[in-house]
Amino acid sequence: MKPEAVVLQKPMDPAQATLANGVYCGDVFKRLTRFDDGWSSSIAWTNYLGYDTPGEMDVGFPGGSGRILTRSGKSGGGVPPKDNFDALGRSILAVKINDAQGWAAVLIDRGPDDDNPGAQDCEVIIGKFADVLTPDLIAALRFKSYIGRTP
Amino acid sequence: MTTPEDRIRQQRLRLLRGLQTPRVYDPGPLPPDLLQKQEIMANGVYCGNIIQSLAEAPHGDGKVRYPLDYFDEDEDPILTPDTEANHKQDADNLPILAWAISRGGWEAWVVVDILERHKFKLSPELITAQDVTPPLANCKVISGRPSDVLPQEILEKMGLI
Repeated sequence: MKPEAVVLQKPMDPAQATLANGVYCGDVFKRLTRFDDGWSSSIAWTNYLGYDTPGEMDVGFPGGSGRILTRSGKSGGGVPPKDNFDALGRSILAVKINDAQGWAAVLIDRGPDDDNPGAQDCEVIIGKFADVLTPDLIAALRFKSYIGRTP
Repeated sequence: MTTPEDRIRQQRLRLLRGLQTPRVYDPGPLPPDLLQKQEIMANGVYCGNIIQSLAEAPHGDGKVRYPLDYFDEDEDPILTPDTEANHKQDADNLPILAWAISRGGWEAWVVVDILERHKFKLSPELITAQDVTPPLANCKVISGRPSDVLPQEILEKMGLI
């Protein structure tokens, strides 16, 4: 079922449907990644991770096929890196880590919302690091100590 | 002057470079409208994360509610009531996206869509391409006594009055 179909009555415009999709995905994201179960307490937003990673960082969803666009990391401020989607229009917006288990929960922009023209849809996916994160993202999360804290 | 041999050599070099460059990398600009949608979605994720955190905190009752839990999808969005508490939070008459209540029902937290408020505040003559960024859909979480922040219809359906 589409996130927005759970949340909203009649969306007033595509932006509201997109916002509602985000609210539901944020709720699910939190519910599936409880701190007591070993998940990181904070959300790693990929646009901020990009600040600390020199060069280009690929945050396209790794399950996709086709070309993946990249974005440039900026150190010490500047314009946030923004070029971040694969050929299917999907990209990773946020990550939470369960370091002890080797799991990552990714919140992805999964592309256009079929039920609401002009709106964007999201999805939460949990998997092993290598299954749901690009190598660039794993490196950035390691750099920021989201990964590698557990001996 | 470029000879045919030079052209072949250059072509081979281009091919080699192409092979050496990982094919998954193809830097390019993200379309501005998609960027804006992602920002709106991230705003929603932020609010959804907060409301679930409040619901599952020790004083919350563990459940996030949505309009569709109580109303039909073909109805107009349910709005926050016009109360003093909501006025103070600049959140009266705004579409409700989600809410949670405390154990015992003495406090409520509500995710509201503040896009409409931006539209209201930015009158058309103020919005020019040069000086005002178009308002993005955004949300915020308000709190208060259920009777102050939630409308009568929700309070009735939840048995809070």
